[in-house]
Amino acid sequence: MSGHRTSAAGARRRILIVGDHPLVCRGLTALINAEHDMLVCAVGRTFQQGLEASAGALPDLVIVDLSFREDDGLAVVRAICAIQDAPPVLVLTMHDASLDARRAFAAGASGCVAKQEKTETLLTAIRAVLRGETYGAPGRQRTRARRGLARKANGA
Amino acid sequence: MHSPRAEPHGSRKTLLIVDDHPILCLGLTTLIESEPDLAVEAAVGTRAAALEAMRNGRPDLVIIDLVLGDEDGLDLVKEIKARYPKIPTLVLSMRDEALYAERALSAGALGYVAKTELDTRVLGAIRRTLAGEAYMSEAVQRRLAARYLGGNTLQTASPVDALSDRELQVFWLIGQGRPTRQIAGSLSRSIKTVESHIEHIKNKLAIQSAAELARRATHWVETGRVPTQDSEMGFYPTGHIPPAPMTFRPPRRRARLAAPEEPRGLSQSCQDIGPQQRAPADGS
Repeated sequence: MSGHRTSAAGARRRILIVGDHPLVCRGLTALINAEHDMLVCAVGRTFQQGLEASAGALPDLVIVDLSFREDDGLAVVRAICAIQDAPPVLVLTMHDASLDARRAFAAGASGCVAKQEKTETLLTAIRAVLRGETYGAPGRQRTRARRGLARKANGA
Repeated sequence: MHSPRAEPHGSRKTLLIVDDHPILCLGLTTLIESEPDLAVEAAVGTRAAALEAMRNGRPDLVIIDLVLGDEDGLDLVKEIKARYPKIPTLVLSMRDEALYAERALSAGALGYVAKTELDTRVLGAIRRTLAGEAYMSEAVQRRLAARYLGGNTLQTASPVDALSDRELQVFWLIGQGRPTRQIAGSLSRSIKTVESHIEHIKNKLAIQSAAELARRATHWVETGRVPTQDSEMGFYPTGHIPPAPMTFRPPRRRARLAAPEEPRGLSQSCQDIGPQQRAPADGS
């Protein structure tokens, strides 16, 4: 089991997609499989499928679409990150809210990218996390802006 | 977004996709192109690009997302309806169906399908609307049927239903954290106009302050749930019935729905509701 992610040079990195949104999964699969250095090894439609594939499909990276309808996307992230020798997780959020990013990183994700980003940006995020880097950690400026908004909204 | 097709579309029906989520455009394009009788003419992300594409080619169907950056997809639906009345539009949206499906159909869309639906449903909606028939989920059909029968007993109406399309758009932009000035820019309206929309929203939702407005709008955008004055947001004790002004202005669409030329049976109504709504816009 150990070392399965040290792929040979030139081999395509294996990516697992976890999400229950068919069009998003299909789009991601088309995007990733069109690249020469990565491929989609499995798609998990539910919490359970995602968890099983994270251990069984030997992915180098797991992409979790946070907007699950029934399951809690963050719980999926936490569960995957709790697996021993877990692959890094890149979270796909609905909004560009840094609130989501903060939660995603707290749940153990290594990257966070908004769904409405350009496809090149999504690929950049995927490659960054595959290299072992983080991507999309909550930015200071934006965070401050959000905090200000929240304070204002709370009437403070 | 998609590779230009070398061969002509032939007998394939061509579709224009308007969606500002590139990954969704890609997924939708892949799905559609895998069908032998359908082809994607173009996939664009803005209202302007969509109208440009409409000028250059005549798609058989336009698929429109309701959120196009800060632009409102409903506006595009209305615009296409006015300029190209023969080209059907299908709204494909992440937004709350209970709130937006009727608005989309009233705006002139022939169908409404949730973005999260399975591939087969999305393709079904595409084929139905291409054939000139209305498409909506069973839940929306039931809702419209209930309304048609005169009562609104099956569904508790949301206070947000009372907002006009434009007010709802402003509410949504507030929830996105946009300042008034920016909202005015996005809508190409004056700040004064936007402020008056905001006043109307506050009146209709019984909101007292700008802070409460921002809080509720943000809550709506982030959770996808329509904010009501209930325990969900902790303003009121559970079961508290909000005071006035919760009276609902009868929506214009209701009048059109309720007054067909002649009474029709329920069995027909779901199918017929779409076309009736799309009767020539009478100056509204």
